[in-house]
Amino acid sequence: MEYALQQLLNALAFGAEYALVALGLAVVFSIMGLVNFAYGEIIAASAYAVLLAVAVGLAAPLAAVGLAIAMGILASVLLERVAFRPVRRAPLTTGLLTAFGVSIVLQNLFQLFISPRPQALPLLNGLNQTLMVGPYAVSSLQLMQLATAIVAGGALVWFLNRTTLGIAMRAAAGDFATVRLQGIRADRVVAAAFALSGLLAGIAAVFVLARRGSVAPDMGFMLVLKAFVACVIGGFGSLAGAALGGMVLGFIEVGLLVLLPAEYGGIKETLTYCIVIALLLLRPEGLMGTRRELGDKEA
Amino acid sequence: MTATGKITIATAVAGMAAAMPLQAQEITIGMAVSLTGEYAPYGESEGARCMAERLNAAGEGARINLLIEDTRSDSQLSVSLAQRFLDEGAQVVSGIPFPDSLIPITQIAEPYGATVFSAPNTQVEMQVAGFENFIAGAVPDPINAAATAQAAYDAGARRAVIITSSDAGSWSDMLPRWFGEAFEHHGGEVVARLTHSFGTSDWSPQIARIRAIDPAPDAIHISSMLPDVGILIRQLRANGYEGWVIGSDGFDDPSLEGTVADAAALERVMFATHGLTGMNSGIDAFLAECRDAGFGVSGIFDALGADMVQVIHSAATAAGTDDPVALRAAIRAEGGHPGITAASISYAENPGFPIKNVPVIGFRDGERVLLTEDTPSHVPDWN
Repeated sequence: MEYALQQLLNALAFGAEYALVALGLAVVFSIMGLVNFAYGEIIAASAYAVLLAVAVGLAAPLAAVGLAIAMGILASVLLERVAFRPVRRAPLTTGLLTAFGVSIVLQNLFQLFISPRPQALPLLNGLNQTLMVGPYAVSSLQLMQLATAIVAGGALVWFLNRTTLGIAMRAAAGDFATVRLQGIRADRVVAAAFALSGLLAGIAAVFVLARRGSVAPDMGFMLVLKAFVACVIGGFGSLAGAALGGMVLGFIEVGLLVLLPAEYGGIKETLTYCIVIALLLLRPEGLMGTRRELGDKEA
Repeated sequence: MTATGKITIATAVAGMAAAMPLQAQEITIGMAVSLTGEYAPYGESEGARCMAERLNAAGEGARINLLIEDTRSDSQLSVSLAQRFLDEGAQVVSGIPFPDSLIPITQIAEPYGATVFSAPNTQVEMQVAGFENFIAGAVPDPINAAATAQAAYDAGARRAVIITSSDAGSWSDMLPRWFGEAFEHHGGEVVARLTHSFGTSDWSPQIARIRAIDPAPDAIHISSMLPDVGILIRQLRANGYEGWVIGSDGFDDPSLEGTVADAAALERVMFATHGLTGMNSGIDAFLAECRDAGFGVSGIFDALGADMVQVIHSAATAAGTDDPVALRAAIRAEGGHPGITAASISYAENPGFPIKNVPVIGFRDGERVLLTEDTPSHVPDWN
């Protein structure tokens, strides 16, 4: 029983990490229909900003947290302005390819100007303490991640429902042209979505750094692929779905890791995606997505 | 011109001709290496470059021409690059040191007569396949696993957990199992087998399983890469695990100490590797000289790259030809060749891999120390 509860806590922590990153992807997708595969590099940019700060002698953990978040927002808004705004009116596939291109360019910049090798950065290791609560080993980082995912999800819902900018963003997600006709500046709405997404990337970078104790050019890539899967599970475009999808993916991964015998460990990823496909067969639009008419593609 | 004069000129020309083949002899080595991507910490090209420049500057024997391209840790790209090197006349080529890269490269190199020399390769697939034109620069994984099994048992470990992954073939999947087999041969017991994926930064599920084992294990073996293994060590210690954490050459990167960032957490860590680094050894001296000369060398894998160049240079000079088949025969000739990780590197006994002692490195007060350096007494059968 203790063991099962311990693994339940672990699954929640895995899910919280995926949910946090999936929320960042979903915010931008819900406004622009863009799957920002360069999101992992925004996380990496935040981590590298901390690395550079430490290299010049700014080694205060609290300042590092602030710097990572600020860099996440800055990098995200900058990418929107430089890379994604010029292709905003292009087909969705153009945006997708742009995102992949930006991801590769940024990874190469990190490799060329810093190093292709992992760089040790233990500055935030202190955030990851193991607390013994009775028989359970609970990581302070896991608790913070879970709390942050819940707060971030709640704050996003509040922002989108209670603030003018948030309501404009929701309206833009439904019908961008009409929102512009109301006199709302499209650029501002989109930039705000990217800023929000960058804020979440900065927070994710803090957690990733605290756990890894190192930075590497491709440190965010796999995480974003997982977050993408989480968004698909939850229903792309739905913030609640992204969070739920992250949690579901976390539970699937930890469940397979725990239940599969070592002899079958090699098929963990295969089984993960089999379960994801099975979920999508049952709910093609994702767990919380809205059903779209497919016309003559319907059976 | 008199007859004497003609003879004098003819003799001089003949003398020059005799000397010329040695001076003009050039061996091209095409290296498809991972300068970027997940395998970048384990690249050997800077050490190879440093050694080639050193040998070429000395001007003795064959001249080494290195062609180096980045695979971006992509096996398919490494095969394409190797094909290009072969078309450009390379007598020796290399790729990512895993079978999915090396098997196709070895097959396409065969009609050219070229040798595939993988300096960091340790995986037995290449040895079991029995390619005539394949040579590894490092001892196979079962020997690495056997060395740590013996060292761990001698250090008092009796109950081991092994953590495997299918992400890097037998290196990450079978090496821990070979450790387990050798460990049990010595009298220890493997009490659990867990799995992981590369890129893991949260080891909580595995650690929870380890904590649930009663009585607790006193050794954990994993063959994986940095920063993953550094994070594992840190998280194990934070969860109260005080036993040995045992690894393979994937631990052997200078970023291990930085990633763990705690000397006490390293105290019961050991790993088997290819030579002594970070311990003021001859390899360290070579790497320091390379760094001073402007090469971006980092660790043991650069030393293996230097070994490869030195072995090929020695063999080519002895063979006196740039014919790739003759060069391979010369590499495997009796007597061995000079190297950086060992004074003499011989392929006469095994055509596909060298015979070397396996150093097992540990830590004391955060500094690397040599625990053992032997040929293990029991090596699991890998065929």
